[in-house]
Amino acid sequence: MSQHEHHDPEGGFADELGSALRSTGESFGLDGRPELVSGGLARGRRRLLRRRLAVTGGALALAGIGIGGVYAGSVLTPGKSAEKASVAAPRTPAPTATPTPGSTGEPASDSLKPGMAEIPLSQIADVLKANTPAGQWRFDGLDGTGQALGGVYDDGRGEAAVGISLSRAGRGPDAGLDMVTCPEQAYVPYDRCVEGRIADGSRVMVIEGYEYPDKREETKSWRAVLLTKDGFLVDASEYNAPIEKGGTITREDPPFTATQLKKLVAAEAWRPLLRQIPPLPTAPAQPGKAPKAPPRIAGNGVQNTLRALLPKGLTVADKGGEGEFAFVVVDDGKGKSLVQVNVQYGMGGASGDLFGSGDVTTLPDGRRVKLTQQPGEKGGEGVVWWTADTMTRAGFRVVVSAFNTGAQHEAATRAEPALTMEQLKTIALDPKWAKIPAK
Amino acid sequence: MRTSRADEFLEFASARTGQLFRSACLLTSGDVHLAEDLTQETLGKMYALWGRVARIGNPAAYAQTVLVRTFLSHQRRRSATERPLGELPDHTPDDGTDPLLRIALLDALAALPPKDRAVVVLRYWEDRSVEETADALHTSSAAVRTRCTRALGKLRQRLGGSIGEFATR
Repeated sequence: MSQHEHHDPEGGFADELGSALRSTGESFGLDGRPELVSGGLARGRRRLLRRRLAVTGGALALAGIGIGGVYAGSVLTPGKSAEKASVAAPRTPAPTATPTPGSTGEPASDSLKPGMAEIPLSQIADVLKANTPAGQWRFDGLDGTGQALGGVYDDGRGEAAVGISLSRAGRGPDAGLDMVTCPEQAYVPYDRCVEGRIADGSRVMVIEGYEYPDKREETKSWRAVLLTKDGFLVDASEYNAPIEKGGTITREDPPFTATQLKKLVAAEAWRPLLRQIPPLPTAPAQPGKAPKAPPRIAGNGVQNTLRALLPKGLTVADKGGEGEFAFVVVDDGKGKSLVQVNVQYGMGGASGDLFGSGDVTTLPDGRRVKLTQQPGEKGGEGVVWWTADTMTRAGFRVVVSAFNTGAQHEAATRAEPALTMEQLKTIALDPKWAKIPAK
Repeated sequence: MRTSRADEFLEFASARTGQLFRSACLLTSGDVHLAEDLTQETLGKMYALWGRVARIGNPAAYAQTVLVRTFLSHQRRRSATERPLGELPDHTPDDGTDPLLRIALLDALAALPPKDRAVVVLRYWEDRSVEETADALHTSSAAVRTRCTRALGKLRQRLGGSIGEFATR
């Protein structure tokens, strides 16, 4: 290998290129760019808060169930300075966060324009303090406005990060349901998860889980989410460390019990603040495009089709998912393997992102197929993630993935997934997917 | 007493931002606005990761890797029609760098696919080995070699023999 480099006929040119790169690179100075460091710090703080609030349970990140549109960018208004379009906030909507125009019970307040909520952070802090046991609170700053707040709480037994966020669940009768439904253990390990309703009909879920699905650090993440009947979400998280990632734990458990956390999200005092949250945009923000929602698949069609298309000889050890997403954990006798599928209409807008690079082929009928083999990203030791992603010209996407483990956050149980790339591709291209009823 | 995450981070950021920004300028082939954005985004990610990164050691190298990955994921999200080819910096350097070399080199970099450009920057600006480059890009050493050979070929074609003259001036 290195022999090849020693005899590299490009060697001389490479040296010259190195000098040229250095002299050109050095010519870009920081003069007049004092905002880079402070801007980076501000972004980092927002990122921490967003992560603390949005991805705690992992359930939400799972298949990106519509949360992106709710939280992305709306968590905290950085002062008054509108952020320009940035690498952190692509204009392309997250592929899975498809807002479904439809009816919700909430009559949109006409006085509010879609956009970020401008609730004074001090008011959020007041409600937070009033509905939790007495203790010392520290906040990064309460001068601005927004719809979420992070702070550090200390009851005398160790500092703990706490976050609260207020949002609208989205449109459609099922909006926000995924936020109050306990996640599948195949995706998110937790010690306890309870879901139910409170007296006024709001749904609530309390989950006692971990910051890292693979528990590589001991940080616990406990969270309660309330979904009101009129479609608002109150979401509270707490940790047993003053920062949610990378910090030494300060106590065995987060400070508030599950019951206290539930009382916090159910507090009446949130109502007037929730009403200040602007309605969601009525149509995807794509000027010039017809705001017609693509059809969506509901029910068990995807789950049943996935099972029907599996190669013979595989035992199904677990299954789950609904609507456009389904998974099975299969075993061919050599270990468990997670197989998952997403079936989505109206994904044409994301085709550049999805098929713009990598191993892409186009079939005679115009369908594009992209095959990817990559390391798992949920922390499981030695996990590989194989994917066949397909899309028709009309934007109908079927993406099938397989892992060499029964759960992404657990270590690999076998060298390779139970299905070959060819089998994944065959499943993804099967005409049965297009026949699943959608509305 | 523990120093705050912000203090530690600011110390790191003050020392490293210049280098990150310069790398970003090369990656974006001179699009300084995008380079600023990428630099801030990278610093933001580093801040969010700070506790872990500080323990892993060599946060400076890690930040460069984060920058390159941020750049590539930004490129993936961007539609091909938006890509400004050969966009030039909006200010003139005052450090005596040969302006012709800058223009020629940035122009040649702009003509490379983003991933090839990332390979060139990691290998020849940051002096990373093939293996380190492969790690940073989540790809194989063989793929890095292939991209490298292809990119060098294209750069040589565009820059001709002139780069030698520039470099030795």
